[in-house]
Amino acid sequence: MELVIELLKGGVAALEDYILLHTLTCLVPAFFIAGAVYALFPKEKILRYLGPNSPKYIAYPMSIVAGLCLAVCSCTVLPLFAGIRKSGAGIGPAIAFLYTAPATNILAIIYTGSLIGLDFALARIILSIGFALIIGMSMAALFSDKKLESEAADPPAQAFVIKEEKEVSNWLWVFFGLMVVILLWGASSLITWTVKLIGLAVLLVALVLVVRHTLSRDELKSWMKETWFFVRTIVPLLLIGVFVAGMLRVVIPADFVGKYFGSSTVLATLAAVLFGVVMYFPTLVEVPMARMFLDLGMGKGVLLAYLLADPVISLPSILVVRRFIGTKRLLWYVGIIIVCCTAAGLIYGFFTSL
Amino acid sequence: MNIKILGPGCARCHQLEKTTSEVVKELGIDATVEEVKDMGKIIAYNVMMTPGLVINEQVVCSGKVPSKAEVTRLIINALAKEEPKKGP
Repeated sequence: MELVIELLKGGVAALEDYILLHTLTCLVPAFFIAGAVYALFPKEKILRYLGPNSPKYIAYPMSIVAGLCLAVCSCTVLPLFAGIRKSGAGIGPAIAFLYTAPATNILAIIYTGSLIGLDFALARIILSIGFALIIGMSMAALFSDKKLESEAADPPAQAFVIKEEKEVSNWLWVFFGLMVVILLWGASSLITWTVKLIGLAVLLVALVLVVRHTLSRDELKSWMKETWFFVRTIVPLLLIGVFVAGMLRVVIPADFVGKYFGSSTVLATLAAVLFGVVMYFPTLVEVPMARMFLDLGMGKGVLLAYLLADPVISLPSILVVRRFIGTKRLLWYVGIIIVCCTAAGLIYGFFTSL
Repeated sequence: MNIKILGPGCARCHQLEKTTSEVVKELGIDATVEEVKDMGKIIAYNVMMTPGLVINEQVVCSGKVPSKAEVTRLIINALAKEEPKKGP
């Protein structure tokens, strides 16, 4: 009975720590940003660079941008990947996209920055982009680009209809930029509360003005709808995930974590990566899990390795990807990811212990 | 009328399916609404971003969840196109 009470107390404490404080300063703006990116980001501008005639130095960066901005919702990653392949993009850029999309989930990055630290969030983004290039180019080098029968069966038509590109006003970028500023300003720990509130008021007024100038009524509604969609699909699972992390924290002995995972050994890092690969957590839940491990004494390098590996590989998505690239390429894909994440964890752990 | 909802089964696709079924019921038309979850079949329609809405084998919407009003408009448009075929 006592254990149950301890577990519940642990869960509640975690909810307080991990959610309440961070919600206002980072999750709320993050959801609005995610909603805006999903609803308003001009997709055609990116997708037109992913055809068969794109030179590599354009296709790779563009596929990474696509992963960053187009696939905010994990369910569109696979159709987009298939569509990009079908449009004739090489396997390299397509894989780069496939990796980038879940690895640089905007919401997860923002939440990581807030809950664990800006250094981790930056490491996550920069390393994920680097990995995407490495993994994409490795796959392209390892495998000739002959398509599997499942791919070759479809005619290599333009996979997406290029509607006439509507003029993208520069104000749209101002809009996105302003929201990022609001996020950083609100979350910053360098400013006092009064300054922060005044600054926020000013920024919000500016945002309202920009929105009135730039977005049509439909676009505004679309943005709000998408934001709300993210909130109601992610928040319940996040709350449960945090609660469970809180409970686990009560149960997992801290000295166990500290002893085996405290410093960046190859074995610890590899174990963390494999744990991330095998365990599936809903979007964003890997962040409070990581926080819990950190509090229990996990080393920073090991933690980073886990954070890099967890979102990218889940059993369901792996199985679907296998249909497109075949078991052999899939095993290489997973293998390269494991190596990269482990290496990154070791290097990061090494540098942070200097 | 044959309506297909393309999507791997995420929440957006379910919402589109629900909305579409409601509209079909309200309009009282003879239409089948089916969900297509198989990736291979979804790709064959050249839909890059799910959910996708296909009416009589034509992709009419993709990448977002259209509002009930939009779905109604799309179905009515499709009905209008069907009309000339029916008839003596």
